[in-house]
Amino acid sequence: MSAERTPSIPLLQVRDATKQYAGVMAVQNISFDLYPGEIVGLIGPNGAGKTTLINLITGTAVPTRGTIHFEGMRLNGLKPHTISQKGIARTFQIVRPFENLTVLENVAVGAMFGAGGRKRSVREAFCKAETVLDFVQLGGRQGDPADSLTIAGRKRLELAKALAMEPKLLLLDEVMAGLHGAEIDAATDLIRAINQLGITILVVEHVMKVIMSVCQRLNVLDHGKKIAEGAPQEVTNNPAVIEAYLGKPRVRKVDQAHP
Amino acid sequence: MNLIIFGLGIVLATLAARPKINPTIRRTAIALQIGIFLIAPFITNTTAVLFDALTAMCIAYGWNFIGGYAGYAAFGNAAFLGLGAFVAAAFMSRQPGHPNWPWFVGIPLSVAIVAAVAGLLGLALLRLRGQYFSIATMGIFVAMPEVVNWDAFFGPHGVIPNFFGSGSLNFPLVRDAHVLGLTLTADQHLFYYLGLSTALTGLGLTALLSRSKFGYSLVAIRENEEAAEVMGVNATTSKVAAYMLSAALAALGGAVLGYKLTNITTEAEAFFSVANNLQMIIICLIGGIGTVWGPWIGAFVLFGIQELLRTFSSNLNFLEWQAVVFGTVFILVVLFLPRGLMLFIRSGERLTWRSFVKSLLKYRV
Amino acid sequence: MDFVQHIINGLLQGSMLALMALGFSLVWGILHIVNLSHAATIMLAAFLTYFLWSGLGLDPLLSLPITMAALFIFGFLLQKYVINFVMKAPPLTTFLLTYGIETLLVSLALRAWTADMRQSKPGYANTSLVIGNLQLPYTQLAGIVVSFGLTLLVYLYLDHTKAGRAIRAVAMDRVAARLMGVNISHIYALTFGIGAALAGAYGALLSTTNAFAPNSFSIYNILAFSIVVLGGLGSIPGVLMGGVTFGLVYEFAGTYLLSQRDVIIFGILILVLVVKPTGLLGREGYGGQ
Repeated sequence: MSAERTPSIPLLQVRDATKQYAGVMAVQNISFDLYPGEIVGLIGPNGAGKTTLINLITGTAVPTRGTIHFEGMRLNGLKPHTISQKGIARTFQIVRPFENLTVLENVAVGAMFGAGGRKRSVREAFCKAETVLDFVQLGGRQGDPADSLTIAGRKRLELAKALAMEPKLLLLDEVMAGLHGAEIDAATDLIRAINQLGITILVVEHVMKVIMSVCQRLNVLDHGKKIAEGAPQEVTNNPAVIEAYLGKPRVRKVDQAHP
Repeated sequence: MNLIIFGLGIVLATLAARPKINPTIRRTAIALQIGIFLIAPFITNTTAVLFDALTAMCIAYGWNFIGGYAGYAAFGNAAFLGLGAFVAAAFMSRQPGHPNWPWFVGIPLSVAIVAAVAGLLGLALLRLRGQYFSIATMGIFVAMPEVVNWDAFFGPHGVIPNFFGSGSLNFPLVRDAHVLGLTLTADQHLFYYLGLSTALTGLGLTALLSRSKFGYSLVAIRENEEAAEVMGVNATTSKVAAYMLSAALAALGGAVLGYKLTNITTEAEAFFSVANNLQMIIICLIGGIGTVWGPWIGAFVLFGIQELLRTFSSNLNFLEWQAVVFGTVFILVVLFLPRGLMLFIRSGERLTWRSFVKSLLKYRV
Repeated sequence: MDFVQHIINGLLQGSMLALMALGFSLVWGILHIVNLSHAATIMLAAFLTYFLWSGLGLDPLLSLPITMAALFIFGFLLQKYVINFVMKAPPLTTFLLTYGIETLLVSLALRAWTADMRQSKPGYANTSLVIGNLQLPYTQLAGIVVSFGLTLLVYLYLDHTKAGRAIRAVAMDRVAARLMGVNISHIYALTFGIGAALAGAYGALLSTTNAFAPNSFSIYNILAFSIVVLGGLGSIPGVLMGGVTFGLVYEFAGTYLLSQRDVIIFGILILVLVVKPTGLLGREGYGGQ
């Protein structure tokens, strides 16, 4: 766990972010900061609003209330492509690569249009893409059609596409979903390696082993609200958090009797 | 003779399109093709069919941008075809009240205007996805003839009075030319070369743009628009540009077509016809949507088939059966060959009966 | 003409338009197909009714069940043996296929029956029920009765019969329905057939109220689409509302802005799609009813 002591200016500042969809409050009054170089986790039961929060940051959804600032710039209402060019990249929970393109072409798109892409020519973008693919260890598959990859391969590809954009902030939405054992360990190492490059990472995840080993801080959401924040050890012992995941104490006693 | 030219066009293009081909062979194939088409008027007794194929190809290249690369199947580009013809005629006509500008002014001007119109429409329509977009563009197609006839705008007391002529609108007639002892007729030579240049424009633009950032932005949009946007692609700009391109090429083909037909008011139905809408789509489907050589090959296959039928069934009144042939070919292609011929050319897979059956059963419930 | 008369005309036409769009809406909601051969189906029915009338002297209202049955069979077979091949394909493919079918049918019809205009003219064709200074043509009155009757029947069918509920189940969740023993391809063909029969009913009625030729029907695809979009996919009352709205638009546009009628329809469609794509009363699919 790399712990650079952070300078005082947050990279990302979320204040009272609220998103309402026709009568449903997907997220309510969420506030937190991300400092450069951190790996921060975002956890919570299903439906807690984690993906919605990511959508708010990337501009796919517009906050009903509240503000989001990145490097001091206000993101509210900006279009997704503008936001991503400022240096924010994300991966999707359900991975869908550009199926009719090759692996290399998929990543090249990231290199062409991402934050680093402005001055890059198409040829340079492909060079960059090759480098990134080597980094995620997909170099050997670069000429293959993207839909020929396994789930693990697709997840790597998803990461590569995001990395090619040269982001400052990377939002990972349940990268581990669908991966097993060794694949999870490899993915965890990759996340650390990305962080070593200086990229700030927000990890949304359900696999606790990953969260505990990789994140310096955690934010916990439940039913759209933030219910806890702090170091992993504190947070996982927080009664409110336990209740959110496992339910009320009475129910838990039954679980304890039948482990 | 035309059949042979079509055949050569298909074979040479197939060669040029093979991905792993020796670059020298590719360049030779392309050069040969262009050569053949340049001398065509002197080796075949009528270039009319070639003209039709080449202009159809240009229009299809246009559709290829929005329907093939971007994945937004526009169903109404025939509207831009027709509009292109009418606007070009309005500027080029020798009739009173019209500026009588030459074709190299009138046609590009028309293309620019139609593209601008498409841009405006696109801004509204491209917010829609899939079938919604397709039907909405169909609406443009249905509404366009009425717009052209809209008295309030274009009638005798309209905003732009009699822009489209009062009653009848003609392109100026083109005279034959005599150069170096050769007689160059309008139909056999001038219009043919105009048609050839529209086709080459389409091919050239596609070849250039498909490997550019713009081209990749379109493909990314087609494959996964949401992901493309968060990767930095400005989907709106790209889509609208693709739509404008498609309208521009449609207008280009339409203007040249109209120029040859001369009197367009009576031929209006020929422009704003469902057959035209279908044709540009079939051509792309047959050849392979979203590819550089697809529309080229597709146009020659389609017109080749028609030429074959025409040669062997001279007693049937061909024009009347054209729509039936179209419809049938269309259905067959959608069922059996949805990815087009380029799929086989690119992957080297063999084109057998089995592959047809596979296509047929792939999406069955 | 009297303003009230215009309103009446609009309502009469509108309820018939609702019938026209009902089949289209069913197929869209349940098979998730935008069926562009819908207009061709209407055309076939109009011609069938016409020929039954001109050849056998059969009154169009009496031949209505025959026409509906014939078109049901047509739709059933079409789905089972042609459209079935693209049921899992991307929407564009299905779209193109039905477009191709439409073009083929219309061009065949033009070859077979030429572009001459026809109209069925049974005895009561040009007569009207007169109330005060309002004229209600009998053909259109018959139309509205048939229209409401069939709509009600469809509503009851979907709600109260086993087959109807199976149809709704398939719309909601194809996989679950299959696991519960529903024969999916049968349901698809059945629904498509019903859609065709309803289109057929409209075609039969249309043959009495308007003169037509094979190429008069292309507006109906867009019109049906617009009605369903306006009223909302998955809602039968929505189809009624959409139909009546467009009926009124048609009537008033036809009087004051005739040559721009299609532009107006297109304009409304765009407006709805851009402002409120789920329509006035829409819910996705028919399952939610």
